[in-house]
Amino acid sequence: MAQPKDVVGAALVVGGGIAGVQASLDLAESGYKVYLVESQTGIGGRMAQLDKTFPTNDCSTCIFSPKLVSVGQNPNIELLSYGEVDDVAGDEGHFKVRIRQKSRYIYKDKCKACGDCATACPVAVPNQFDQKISNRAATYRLFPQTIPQSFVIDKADRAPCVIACPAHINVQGYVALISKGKYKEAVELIYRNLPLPGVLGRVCPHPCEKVCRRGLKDQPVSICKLKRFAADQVDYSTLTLPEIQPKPEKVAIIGSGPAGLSCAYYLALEGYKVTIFEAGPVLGGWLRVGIPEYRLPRDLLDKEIQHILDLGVDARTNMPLGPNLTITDLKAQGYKAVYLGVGCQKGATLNIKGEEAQGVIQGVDFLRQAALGASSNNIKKPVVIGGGNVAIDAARTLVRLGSNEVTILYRRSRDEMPAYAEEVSAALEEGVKIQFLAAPVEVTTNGSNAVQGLKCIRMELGPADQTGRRRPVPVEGSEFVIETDAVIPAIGQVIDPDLWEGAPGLARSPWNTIQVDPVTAATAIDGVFAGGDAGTGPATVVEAVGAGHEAAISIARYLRGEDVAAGRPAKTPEHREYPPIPEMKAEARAVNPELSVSERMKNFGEVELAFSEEEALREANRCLNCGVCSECMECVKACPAGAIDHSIQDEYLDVDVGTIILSTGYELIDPSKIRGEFSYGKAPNVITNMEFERMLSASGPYAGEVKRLSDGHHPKKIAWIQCVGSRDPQHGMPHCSAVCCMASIKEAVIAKEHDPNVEPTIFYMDMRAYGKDFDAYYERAKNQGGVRFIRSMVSRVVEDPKTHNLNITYVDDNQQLAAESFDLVVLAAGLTTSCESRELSEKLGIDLNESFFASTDSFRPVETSRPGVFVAGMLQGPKDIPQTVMEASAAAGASSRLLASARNTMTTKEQFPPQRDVVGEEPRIGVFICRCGINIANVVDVPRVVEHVKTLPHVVFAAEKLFTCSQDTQEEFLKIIEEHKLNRVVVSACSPRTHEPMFQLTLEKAGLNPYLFTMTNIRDQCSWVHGYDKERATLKAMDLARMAVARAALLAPLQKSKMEVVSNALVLGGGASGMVSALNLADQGFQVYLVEKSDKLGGNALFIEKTIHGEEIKPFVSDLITRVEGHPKIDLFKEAFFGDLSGHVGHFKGTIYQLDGRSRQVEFGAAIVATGARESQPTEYLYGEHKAVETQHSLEERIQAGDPKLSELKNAVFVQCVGSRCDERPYCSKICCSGSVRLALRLREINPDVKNYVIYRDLRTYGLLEKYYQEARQAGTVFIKYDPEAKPRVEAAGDKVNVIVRDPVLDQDVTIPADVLTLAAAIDPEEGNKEISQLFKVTTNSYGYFVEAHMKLRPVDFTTEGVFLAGMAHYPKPIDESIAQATAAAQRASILLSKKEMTFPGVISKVDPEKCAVCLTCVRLCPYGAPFINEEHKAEIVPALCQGCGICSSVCPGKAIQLQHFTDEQVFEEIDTLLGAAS
Amino acid sequence: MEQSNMQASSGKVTAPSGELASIINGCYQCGKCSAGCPVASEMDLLPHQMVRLGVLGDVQRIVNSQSIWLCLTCHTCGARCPNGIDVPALLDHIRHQVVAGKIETQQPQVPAFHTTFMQNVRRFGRVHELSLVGTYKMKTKTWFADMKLGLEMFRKGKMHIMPKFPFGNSAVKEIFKKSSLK
Repeated sequence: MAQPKDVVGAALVVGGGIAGVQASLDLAESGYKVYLVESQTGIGGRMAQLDKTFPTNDCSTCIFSPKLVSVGQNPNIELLSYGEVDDVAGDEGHFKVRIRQKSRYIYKDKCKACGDCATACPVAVPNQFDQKISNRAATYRLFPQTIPQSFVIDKADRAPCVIACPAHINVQGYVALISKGKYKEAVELIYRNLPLPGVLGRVCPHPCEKVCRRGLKDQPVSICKLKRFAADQVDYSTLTLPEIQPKPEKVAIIGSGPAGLSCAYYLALEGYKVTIFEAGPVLGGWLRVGIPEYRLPRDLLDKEIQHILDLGVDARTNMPLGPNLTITDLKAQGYKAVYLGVGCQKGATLNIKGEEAQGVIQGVDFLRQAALGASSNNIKKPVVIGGGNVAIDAARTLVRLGSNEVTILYRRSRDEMPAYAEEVSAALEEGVKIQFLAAPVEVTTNGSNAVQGLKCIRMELGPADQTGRRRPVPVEGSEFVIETDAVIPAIGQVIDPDLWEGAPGLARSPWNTIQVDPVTAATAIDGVFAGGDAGTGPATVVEAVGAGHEAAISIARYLRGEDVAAGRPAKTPEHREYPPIPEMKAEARAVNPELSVSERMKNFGEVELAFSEEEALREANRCLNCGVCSECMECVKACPAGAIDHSIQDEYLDVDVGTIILSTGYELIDPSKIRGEFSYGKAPNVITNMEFERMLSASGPYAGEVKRLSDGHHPKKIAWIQCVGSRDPQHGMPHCSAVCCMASIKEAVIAKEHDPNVEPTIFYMDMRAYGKDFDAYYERAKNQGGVRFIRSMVSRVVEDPKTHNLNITYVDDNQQLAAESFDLVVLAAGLTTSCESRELSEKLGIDLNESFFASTDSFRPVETSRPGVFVAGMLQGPKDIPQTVMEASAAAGASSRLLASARNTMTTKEQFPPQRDVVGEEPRIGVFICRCGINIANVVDVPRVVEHVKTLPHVVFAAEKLFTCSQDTQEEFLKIIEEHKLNRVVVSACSPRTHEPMFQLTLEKAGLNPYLFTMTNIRDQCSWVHGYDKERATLKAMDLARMAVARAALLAPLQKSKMEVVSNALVLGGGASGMVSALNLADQGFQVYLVEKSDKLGGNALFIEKTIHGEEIKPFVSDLITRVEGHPKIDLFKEAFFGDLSGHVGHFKGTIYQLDGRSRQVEFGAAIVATGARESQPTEYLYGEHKAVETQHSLEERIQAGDPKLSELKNAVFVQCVGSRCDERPYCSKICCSGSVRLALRLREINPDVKNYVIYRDLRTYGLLEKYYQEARQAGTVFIKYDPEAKPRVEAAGDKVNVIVRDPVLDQDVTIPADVLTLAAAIDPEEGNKEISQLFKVTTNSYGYFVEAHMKLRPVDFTTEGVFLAGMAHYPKPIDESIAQATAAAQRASILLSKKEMTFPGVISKVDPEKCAVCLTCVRLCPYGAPFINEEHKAEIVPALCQGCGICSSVCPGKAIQLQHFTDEQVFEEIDTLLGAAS
Repeated sequence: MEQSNMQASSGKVTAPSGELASIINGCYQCGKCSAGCPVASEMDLLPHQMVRLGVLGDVQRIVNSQSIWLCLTCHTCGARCPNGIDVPALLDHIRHQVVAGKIETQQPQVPAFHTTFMQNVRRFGRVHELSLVGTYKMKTKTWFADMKLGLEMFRKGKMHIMPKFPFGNSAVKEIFKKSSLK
């Protein structure tokens, strides 16, 4: 394959789960720059959500987080978290990628990850990381160990309530603050846009509540009343005021209504000298003389006005603008700007006969007089005319003043009334009568011109007018008279005409209001601004307050000489995006109590009463936090680092890369969407696998306690239901999700470990334990783990509404219906790709298959349809962690092959400061005790350990850390080491095996020798094993820490040795895996020695005709062979074997022997073992005795040879698990189920009339292979399950055999006369594996398969460094998985081979030649062959071979050998320290 | 059970073929249909067993079962079946053949009731209970079974002496004419 020219030595990795992390590390460590883009706030992905990983039951986060830290520490990985790929241009070798970096609103480099912002944040939204079973703040990070550690503020568009508020109050913010009991902060937040919170909390028509999205669920949040509640709680004198910078300019405010007060307040905050001129005798305008006291208590109004005046605002009453005080006068007095907030004070006239009569009084005038106490009311039977709030206010006031019979006359119907509905209701309750559809015609009077009655006419509603309301039309001849002693018109208000005299030059609108600019509030006169009712006509208080605030902004800008209109009005996005409304129970909104009707008559006491605190808190918590971040700015106040800035914008970054690796993972289906019958989302105790993982997790919301969501009780009977939205073609999810069977078994086992009372039951169809060691785990769970397995699908889950238990009916083993009740049901929800992944695929132009996974072919398992774009992990198809890790390394390998010519062109090397010489210094020890979240701290009393440590000699610093391994703690280490001049560091945390290298790196960064560090494991050895005895666990942790400190004092710096690397590779095995590995390395430019023991290349691939997907294998293998044979960098040895290994990683030596007697000495830096496996010979079912019985292998040969007999077959039978999953081979051979399915389909191609029967135990067509199982069934292949206790019987019947098997569904024997019986023979490892294992000091398991370094995270490595593993030598697997592993092995090897030199750890043994007696004990006992006898006839140890195991030093009779870092002196000191304290 | 070319040899009733066979063959025997069947507790063969018999070609056992007539055609099985197997579709296929008289059944009263019912509806446009009962008794010769129930119904006015011909009777007849039902 031609490689593109001038490639860019960098790669883009999209998705920061385990696949993306592994691919990034592999690439960065082999000399390429990596851009790792992750859409979440940090890396970790799905693996970080898991509790434990099977089969080792390791803590998932614990084994994963060192890798995360490595990503953070690698100088060649640029981590672009909270980012997404915006655009990709260019081709393989040189892509140009644009990445959108979403704003974190927190500076990553300033954030110290202390979490104070999250504590201060009042918002609670569902926590996606905990699968929404817990809440998080708007300020958050994914999980504590994520990288980067810094927090992110999560913002959607501004909440609808905020946008709807005419004053733009931060509604969501103050509601959120109230929900946390932060009333003072809430009121302070309201004051940013509204200086009258208590007033508006009573009289606001609350447009915010109309748009509240909670209303879509049940009812809107009672926002307005919450505001009132908060205002009532707070003593305003305690409010924190912003700092005011006094300015010299004077501003005059005309009118002290809401607009004027608001304008005055915000100008005063700006520092201007503000004077209010009020026409009336008291301040407050309409608030005081319009709105009656029973709606707005006067003491509250006084309190809020006083708060404004306290800013230094001057107020003068009885100073109307008019003939005696004009604008010109004000300007002459030095006022630089004037605000006209004069309102509409005059009532509109009725224009009917008799309107001047005594007893006709304007509604506004009546209310004013009543408010000022001037009116001694003797009105007995008044008629109020109008349908607005003034009319209602007047009527209710009249009731309170003693009128017996109050009537309101309104010309339309109740629906059209502009007054607030609740006011109308209250009026009716208080006995007010409303005459609808009636209009006044004439006021009739008595002789003394006093009102006597009101002549009215009936109306009916005609067509709608321009306001949308139906126009009333008089009904001819329907006049009637109401007897009355007072007529109170309240049909509208107008500006007091005196204004125009006081402000000559002021322009008028067509509606006789002041003509003002709607945005800036400017009038026709320079420096004069106006607003409120005077600008808009009568409107609401909140609109007036908003207008006053806007005018204040204008005036301040005007006074500063700035552009008044710039950037106004603020734009709101057209299509607003909010998080979906979460699933929750409907909950009615709080209703405030009211005075009873009898209590409120005859007095002006406030009618509406406040919420109780409990009620207010509950109500505030109903808020959905639509905008997520409420912008309350509490985080800004709380952040000690000043890292938060809410104005940070998204950024775009352009990068050049040679290749792209996609690893965006998967999404769980929502069971309620696909399989509603399982009651997910309805019954609280039905949860998904992932939710259960979070429950089990020690760092999860329940701290590892298994609890029911309904009542918090510990469940006893737990059911797992498999295949919920998997293997479900009817619902568009035809694939098997591949991981759920094992995940469920693991969860069942762990749940039982957490609580021995748990009785787990797993309902399944086929138990797909197809991976390495999976079956053993399954058998253990079944036989010893107390897990009950029922092979039956559940039709539905029915919740008992009282107990919340879950009833399940199923068909049992005897084909009888059984019903059972469970406390908790866990659904194995199917896995699929996310919408985002699909969109990204479309953006990149890569093809997806019918299940929406990235389509690849078997021979190029990590290559997408677009050259240069690779895929790894779940995006390619459902798979487990080891396979994901293999693919990640494989994708890195495929990428390396393309970019090899640009290796090391874009990377930088980490530079450490020179190491400080500490020899001769007094030890200064720093000790860090890790809480490990709660992993350690919930058992061990960590503070007590810290206190104990502080008393120890040489300890100059000791502290506890939540997560000692987190990146921010590493940064902190550097500072502490510097500050306290530490020369030794001790960490008491988890396992040194996983975490020590990371801490040592930190020491190097601090300029300390990495061996001045020691670690002790108080998690595994204290909190985990002594979880039930906290006291003794704590004492033990203290002991361990004390011992570590004692040892630390004696630690000495050690030097790491360096050695040149031989950049050749040895590959053992010339099958598909070996050839793929060899070609990949050779294409990367490394010399490869390929050793094949047979006379031809190809291995097992030669025997297979087609893959299950239908791809011809022959052309692929032939191409591999041609390329291998012709490759200048590959030396091929057929009929050869390898031996005489010596040397070590980076520089091995050995000999390749060929059958013809030739041999060749080779040197190489790394080796790959790909020696394969083969089909075993069955010993049952008449195999070898009857010619109709054969293996898959021989049937395949007949197909390839075109055997004509195959076209005459009538019945073909396949028997599975022949020699697999039995005592001899307890493992699943993994490839035979799909093999039989493939062969059955193939036989049908050859002869459409053949009837196929597959007799199986569990059909393990995992992942995307499931569709072929479905295809085979639909094509008529009959699948019959058998029990290992009752195996099928085979009887010879002429040239046929009869296969007799019990059909479990019908519980009867089925006899099938088979023309051919194909046995799925078990796969055996190659016999030569034992020798190879001895040669390379690598291990094989008891069946002879090689054992990888770590089941999950190092599936292609051996524990012996420099040796790697690929293909069936590891475990049986199909060709695509073998190729992936082979490519991965090549990549892992290339990390070593691409280095010029490598360093070896300093923990090695050293011989004191003076003491050596040359007894050869060390030479004989060293498992690594490190000691040899040198020319001085003394033992010497090869540093590169020494693994630091200490065997030699312990066996040396002369004590001539000391293991560095574990010297006798250090170890004895530890023991003495322990015993010393004990005695 | 002998498994040899069974699909074609099962009395007069044929196993489903074509697309219906392909859908039924899709069954992986999870038992979900039976677990959710509202009349499963009354059945001698559970729905998933009937599907299994359909797959194995032993239709006769389905024909001989009571279950085939107990099925309410509520389609709960099909709605929840991951493979979209609608058990009533399989049973309809067989019931049609039984009713068409292709084969003797061990439950003859059920097809007898079925044909009587359909004839009754065809004649009157709706059921006329008295003539329905009469014809059914004639056919099955079960003269005295259900006597008590019959009297009770008569007393409650559920048995009308004269049939009522509903409006649109001709339309019902038209439907019967268009159907292949004899």
